[in-house]
Amino acid sequence: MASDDVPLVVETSGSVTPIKRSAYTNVDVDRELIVRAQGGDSSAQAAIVEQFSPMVFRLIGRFFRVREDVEDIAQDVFIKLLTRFDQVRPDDNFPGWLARVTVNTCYDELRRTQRRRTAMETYGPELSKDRSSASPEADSFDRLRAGLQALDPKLRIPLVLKEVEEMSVEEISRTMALTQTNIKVRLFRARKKLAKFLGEKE
Amino acid sequence: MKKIEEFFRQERQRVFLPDAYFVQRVMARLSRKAEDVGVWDMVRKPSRSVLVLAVAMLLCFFALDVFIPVMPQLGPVDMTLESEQGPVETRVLSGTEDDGQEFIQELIAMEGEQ
Repeated sequence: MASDDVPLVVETSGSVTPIKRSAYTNVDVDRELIVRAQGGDSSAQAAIVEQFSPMVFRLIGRFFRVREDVEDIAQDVFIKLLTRFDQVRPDDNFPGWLARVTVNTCYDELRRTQRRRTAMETYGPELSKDRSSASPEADSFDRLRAGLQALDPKLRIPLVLKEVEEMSVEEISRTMALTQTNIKVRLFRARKKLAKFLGEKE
Repeated sequence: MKKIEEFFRQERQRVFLPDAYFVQRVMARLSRKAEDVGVWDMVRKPSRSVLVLAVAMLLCFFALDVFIPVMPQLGPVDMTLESEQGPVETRVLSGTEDDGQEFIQELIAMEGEQ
């Protein structure tokens, strides 16, 4: 597993390719492989899935905690990628493009999850809130997690990309196709809402 | 504040990695999807709305053409009289108000031919 300063290492057909944390722009991509995959070469397509699946899993895992959810969304991302490969220009920043597709897919799924959660809270059974057995630290982390999940995906995604994925504002703006000012405003609002949520709970 | 930092640090350590069969599953899903491709899937998403609009307009024109009868250019009286008109009369009826000497000469010539 990748720790804070150790780069994530991906095994790709025998060779080891380091992927820098929070730097989706600096990953070496075989241009020839992309051209072949665009031409319908299934072995090239499989190689691309193999090379980039750790990056996609890692990014999705920032927003979803259940492995099955992560796997399902990752499959959706690669199906989208492989069915729209004609939109990829081999000379462009392919990992950045893939990161954008991944974040957009996560955004759609988070919106769906949020709608389901709202419906459950409105019409579903009342859940037990007895947490007397949990440790104080776990309890505060649970509150933070709940606060993060309660955030609108529009605010949650930039906050998670900044604080957990350690992307720069510029990288987030490119990934989300928004201006840097917009990202800064969203980050500010997300932090404020999270602090307010925690303040209310305490 | 420290707790928030600690929380984000813990979140950073939570990394999912694909299992050994992930690529096969994606490729299998892709080939299954390729088998199910219909005409609609072949049209790119941004072009679909244009295509729908074009088809709808075409259907509208077709419906107008089929269900709204074409207005005849001549009424029943004109149509009956038209069959009885000679070329000179036709020429006089279709001529303009300010037909000059040339026009009269032309009519005389036509009368002569008859």
